[in-house]
Amino acid sequence: MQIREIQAILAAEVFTGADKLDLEVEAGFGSDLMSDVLAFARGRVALLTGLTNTHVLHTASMVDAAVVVFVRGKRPDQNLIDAAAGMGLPLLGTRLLMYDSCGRLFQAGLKGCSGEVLAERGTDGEKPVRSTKEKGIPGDKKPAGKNPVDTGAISGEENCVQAASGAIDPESVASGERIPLDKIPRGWKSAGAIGRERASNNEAFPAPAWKVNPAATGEPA
Amino acid sequence: MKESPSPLELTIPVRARDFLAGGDGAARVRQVLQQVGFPPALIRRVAIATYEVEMNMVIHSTGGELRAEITPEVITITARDTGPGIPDIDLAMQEGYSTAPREIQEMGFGAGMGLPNIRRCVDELEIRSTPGQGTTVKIGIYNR
Repeated sequence: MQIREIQAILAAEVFTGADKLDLEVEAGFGSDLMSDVLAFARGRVALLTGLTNTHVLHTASMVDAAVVVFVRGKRPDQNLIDAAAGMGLPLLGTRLLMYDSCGRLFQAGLKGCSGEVLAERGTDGEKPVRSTKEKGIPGDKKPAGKNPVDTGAISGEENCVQAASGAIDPESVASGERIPLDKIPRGWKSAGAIGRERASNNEAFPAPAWKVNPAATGEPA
Repeated sequence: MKESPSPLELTIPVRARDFLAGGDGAARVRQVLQQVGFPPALIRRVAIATYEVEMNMVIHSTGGELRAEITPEVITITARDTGPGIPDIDLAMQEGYSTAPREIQEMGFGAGMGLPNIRRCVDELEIRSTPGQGTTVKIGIYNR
């Protein structure tokens, strides 16, 4: 994915490096802990962070990051922008929060580094962070990284409640909008709708299995 | 027979609590390695390890010196500081163990990943520490 696409997906401002937006990014990495970036980033990453101090630039240059994206509307000061310009490191800024930023990029096809980390593949000669290997990504059928890992015995059919295909319109999800009611497929009812239906049919509500406040009803707890 | 070139040496002072300059030493070492033409994967390992060593000195010590000795075969980084020392090196090597204060964590460090991170990137690692006097960390990375 090009830096230009990242900028478009995150509606990001370009602080410096406008001439480098055609550069390719291999993976994404989001963290406010710079040591974790040093430990887990693999390949030429886009580094998403909420930190705006000089250590972000140092860390980015140590792991050869292609671009730094400041999330949550954080703005670097002019010194930092000048330093990044001197290093030839593009800096972007988005108002989106960390989770939303990462989610949008992942959905657009920019993978993370989990595949390499879980498969214990470092950049040449780097040893794995942990000596014991946990197999697979629990509950995840979609491994991240250029080299997907074996997710073990977990199968979506057995362990996950899956939404019907077309249940959620991908376009509305990608744009971050609320899903309009008519896009929710038939057969999916809201709690309010179930309540109204029961009331109109004079159906009794099932008694709750717990007492909210035993003292108020005078019953023993 | 060709004489092997004398090692390239760099000495960089590291000041305690100078968070603005912290990392400049590692950046300098990285720059030199790039100019000499080492492979990027090797430079990355040296840079990460040197940066972590340097930040440890900035955070924990009362100042010290970073020395890099570069030959085509091996890159040796020696970090010598005066400071409190490390009372229990085995404990400090554990992932997640940290004695860094809160303001350090707010800067993105002190997650207890420093020493494990260094070990991950290097071929040789030697830590000598005398509580109350200081710590010397020596790392070696081979160019193979």
